Amino acid sequence: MKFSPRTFRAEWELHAWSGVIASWFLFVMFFCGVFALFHEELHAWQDPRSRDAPTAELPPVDFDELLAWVKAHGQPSVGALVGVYAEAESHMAYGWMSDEKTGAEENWAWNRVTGEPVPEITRVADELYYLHFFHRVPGGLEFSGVLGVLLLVATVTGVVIHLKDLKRQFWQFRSEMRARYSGSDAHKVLGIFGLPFVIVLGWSGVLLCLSTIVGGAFTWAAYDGQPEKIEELRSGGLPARFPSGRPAVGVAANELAARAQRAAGSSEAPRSLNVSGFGDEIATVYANFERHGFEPDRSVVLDGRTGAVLRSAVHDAPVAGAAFERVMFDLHFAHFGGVFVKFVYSALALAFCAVVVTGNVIWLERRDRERARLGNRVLERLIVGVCAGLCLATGVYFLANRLLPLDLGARGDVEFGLFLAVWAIAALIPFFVWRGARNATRGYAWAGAAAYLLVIVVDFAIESVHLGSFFTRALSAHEGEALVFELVIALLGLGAAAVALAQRPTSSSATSSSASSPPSTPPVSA
Amino acid sequence: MKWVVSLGAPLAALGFGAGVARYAPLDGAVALAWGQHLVVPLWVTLMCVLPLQKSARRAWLLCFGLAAPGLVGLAQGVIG
Repeated sequence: MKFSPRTFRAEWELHAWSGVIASWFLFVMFFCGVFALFHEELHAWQDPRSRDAPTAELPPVDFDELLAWVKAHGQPSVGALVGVYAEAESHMAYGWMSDEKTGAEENWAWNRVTGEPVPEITRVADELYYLHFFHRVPGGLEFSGVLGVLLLVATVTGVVIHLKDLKRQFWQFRSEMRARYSGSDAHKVLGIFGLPFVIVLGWSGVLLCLSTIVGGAFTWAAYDGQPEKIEELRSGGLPARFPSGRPAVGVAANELAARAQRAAGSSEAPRSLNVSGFGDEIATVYANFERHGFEPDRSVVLDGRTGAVLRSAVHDAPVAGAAFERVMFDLHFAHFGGVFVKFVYSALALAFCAVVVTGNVIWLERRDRERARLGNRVLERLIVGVCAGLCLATGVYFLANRLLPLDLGARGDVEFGLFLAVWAIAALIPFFVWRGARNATRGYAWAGAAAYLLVIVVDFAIESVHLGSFFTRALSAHEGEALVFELVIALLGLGAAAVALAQRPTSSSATSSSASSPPSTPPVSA
Repeated sequence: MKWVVSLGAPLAALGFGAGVARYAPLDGAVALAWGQHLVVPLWVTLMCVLPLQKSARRAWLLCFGLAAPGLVGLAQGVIG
């Protein structure tokens, strides 16, 4: 299928501009997407204290105790949002609270055997997860949604401009040719292979990020300013359950967990209980279960006061729209297929990072090979500094997690500050010292590889004190998660080393002249 | 400046989606599902199609035409 030159040109420009505008941000989103995928594993890996207790002697999870702990430490008002999470295989318990009346937002971790609080010493897992959608930046979630739209636009226009030769682009890779062609081939091959992944991740990501804006617009344009109508329709006809503010005594949490387990037909207790309207006569309890492999969702919604099952994902027919969203979100979060699918997703996410970088290479090589324009010189330095710098900074973040003393004050902040500082410095260095993109990328990639691989060395040095028990303990579920993340780090280290090796060094005289001298030929236009 | 018209895409997509949710002769939950989940594909499609229009006026007309059901719904909600 061939389009008119005007259509082709317009789509080509749209592809290029949407891609280049969103490129650094999309790189960050997809690179951090790997850590978001392995969030549970990273959570288990990041804090060595979570592995201290012998797992065989752990009592079963007691939800009454967990909620009592949160009540004692958070003192939530009637109507607050409260949640608890614990695994049968770990002595760690987690709780959170969001209290609209007092404005309190709290998270806790404690030892569910001793009841002792476990002060936070690290936030690696959460900070990298938040960076996946720029949570720390005001409006970051909505911004991520717009980036998702730009990603989809770049994807659709990319397919449109290559419809005429799509089959060839599946396999054509001329690595021996100069960057404009080899980069272009890599961009297209990886882009086409990852097409379904990018579309699903982009679409579901936009749904997740822009749901508040879309919901708000629909509330006014379709439901006369009544948000409860949307709630009702989305919950399969259940009346919207907003807390009334009147306190009531509810059913015990253990009983609710047992009812949820029966309703879900599960052999395991729920992993978490989240209560909307805590202590209110209209309290709603959401029980979530761990999902193994390709198991369907088994979540259960209960009435907190009467204990009645309001909705069970296993038995009730899915609500229109919610069923579609469930599929999209399961695909987005890789809630199926276990660790294997997470590794496949990670490979695709990193391949997309390569698509982003090669897309910028094409932009620069086709439009301004001599880097005559300031904007293109900035673009080149930023793409190296931000992208390769992030790879290095993440390695340093993991290394800091292992090397900083456990009793250091505000340790989580120090770690995160170090990560941001290394990233910022790495992003700025190319503006002061520039010996070409390949040399800079090679330097960052080697440094990143060294940081990742050093983490493995440090971990084994620490574990060597009781090396005999390392693999035995790794067989338990919790330690297994930490070990999976150890593998992720090793693969990232090897990947960074491979990137470094792939960057052929360029002579500084050639690169500096190409960066600063005027172009010998007019810039090639699109 | 011809790319400015792409800003009309999200408004048109939201307006059309809200119109479907409000006026489509379907069960309420189904209409909401269709309306909400049409927003993203329509937004992306419009971003790709609007720059191909012969003039900016035509592109804006297309946006307003698609957003009309939502705008009418909004007016009905505010007035009535």
